[in-house]
Amino acid sequence: MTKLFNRYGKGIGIYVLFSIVMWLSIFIIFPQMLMLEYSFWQYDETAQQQMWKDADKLDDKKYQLLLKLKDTPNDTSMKNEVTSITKEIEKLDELSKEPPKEYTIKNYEYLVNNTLHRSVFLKTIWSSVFVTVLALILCYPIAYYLALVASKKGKVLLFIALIIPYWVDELLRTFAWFMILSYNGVINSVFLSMGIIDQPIEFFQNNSAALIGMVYAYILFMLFPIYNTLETLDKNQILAARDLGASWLSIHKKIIIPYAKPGIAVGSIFVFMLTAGTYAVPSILGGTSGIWFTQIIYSWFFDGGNWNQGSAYGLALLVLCILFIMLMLKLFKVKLQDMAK
Amino acid sequence: MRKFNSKQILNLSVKLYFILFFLYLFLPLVVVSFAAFNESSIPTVYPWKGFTFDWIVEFFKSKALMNSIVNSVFIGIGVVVLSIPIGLAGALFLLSLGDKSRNIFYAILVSPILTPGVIIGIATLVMWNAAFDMSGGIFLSIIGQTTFISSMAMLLFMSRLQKFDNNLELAALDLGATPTQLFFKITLPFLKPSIYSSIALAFLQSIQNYNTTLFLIGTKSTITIHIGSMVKLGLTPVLNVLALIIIFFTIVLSALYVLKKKREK
Repeated sequence: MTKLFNRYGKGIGIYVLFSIVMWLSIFIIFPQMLMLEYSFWQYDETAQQQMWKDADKLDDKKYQLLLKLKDTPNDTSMKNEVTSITKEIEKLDELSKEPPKEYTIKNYEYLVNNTLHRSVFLKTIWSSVFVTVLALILCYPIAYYLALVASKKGKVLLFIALIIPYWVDELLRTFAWFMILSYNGVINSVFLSMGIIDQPIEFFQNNSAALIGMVYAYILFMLFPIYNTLETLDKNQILAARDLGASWLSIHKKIIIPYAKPGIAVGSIFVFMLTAGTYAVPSILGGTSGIWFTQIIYSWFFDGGNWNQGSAYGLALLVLCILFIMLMLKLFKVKLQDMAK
Repeated sequence: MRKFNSKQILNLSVKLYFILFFLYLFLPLVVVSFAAFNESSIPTVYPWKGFTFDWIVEFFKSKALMNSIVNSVFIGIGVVVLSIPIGLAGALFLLSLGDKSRNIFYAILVSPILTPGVIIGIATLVMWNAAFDMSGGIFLSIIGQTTFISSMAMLLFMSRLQKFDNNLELAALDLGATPTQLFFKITLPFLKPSIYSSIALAFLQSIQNYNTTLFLIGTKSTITIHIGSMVKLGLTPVLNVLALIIIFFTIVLSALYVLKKKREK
């Protein structure tokens, strides 16, 4: 820390320190902590209703007293009672405006006990794993070829070709598949007019459209990390293995795949996280039955108005992603620091 | 003879695979682009009802769309202004730490990239609402996006700083430069290329963001939010015009980026 000040002087040191403190606190840590806190309480609505009832009862009592006071206007003890009751009612009104917080794990229990939500959560897990594995299988040959086989000139062209879809908006790419797979979409129109099918295929009703869209949206997040790792592989290793008579398969198994491990880990982490956390793809390609966990979270926030429940669901998703990252790092024996590349 | 054949088959299947892979990547983009010129009132390329520029005219007339583009650009500028200095500070900070504490802080500062965008949106919304009673809008969108785009900028700066030749600094100090001069005369100019590329990255990431913005934009709209609601509510080929424009710019940018990188090597 003092190194920083010694190296760049006071002014820069203060700027760096200030930025880091702000970023860490206001942007990263406090929001997450508050989401965590939110997920562990609920507004206690029964207590609120009880307060309303109590206030009503007091109101009645006050009314009775006021009636009696009309007959005996000089009864000071009764007058005092009226003012104290009025104060109490005001207090209850004020308190019941914001219902009391009740710390509880109900929000999490709800996720576990609600069969629909639980099944969507589980579906999100296995679908994300499926998309990740599929992306890995589809990418590996391309990454291998691009890094170790392609000529320099071909590489530049292929690279441009890969970056274009990578940089086009996730939402537009999803929209493209919406056009292709929808009920009146390109595939259905073409197949119908060719007589291959006599009824449009409903890609949205099963999960196929959403899965195709997800693989499409995130596949390049798998490709580039693997490519980056493989590019640093010394090609002589492969040549030597080939000279010694190693088969095509065992070269991949013993040299290339082990070397690609960090790339595979990073790619898998990204694809899994993006897939499990996507809202765009399932909301456009998901149809009516194919709800995704993020959509439930969204509706807790904006349709149900229960932010506490939504926070708990969000936290469940976050924990899932953290567990997956830890699993990948352990499985592939990679450190987080290697990810910068 | 047989061996030669199997090799041929392998070659052929690799080629075929490549063709299929790139078709998979590009066909959707082609379909989206061409539908911008189809007279049909729902976006499609088949059946082709005739060539038209109407949708392009319509695109520039759409006030809601123009408004959302303005919002996106505004948010993008805000994110650039915040995330570049923060990312740079992050990189300088991490590189000035010892190995052990560096690893810990590295994990924390990189975590926003590994967090689903939806979660960043929720957490930001919850905190600003609870602490300052704020609801969604342009400001919160900038804040939420800055959280993780700063991490991306930081990684770019770090990889550049790791190539830095420390002797340059020592030489400057020997010649009597003050530490502050050192920063502005040596370090910052050295970082220039990565400042440009991180500005481009931050802006691009901000404009394209959907998952985080969705939770933070409130009643306003951005390009992506607009696309999202159009797909669900009222789909017209105007959306394809937008897609066409974005794809066009992406092609130009990608070509420039790759060629520039090639020259650097």
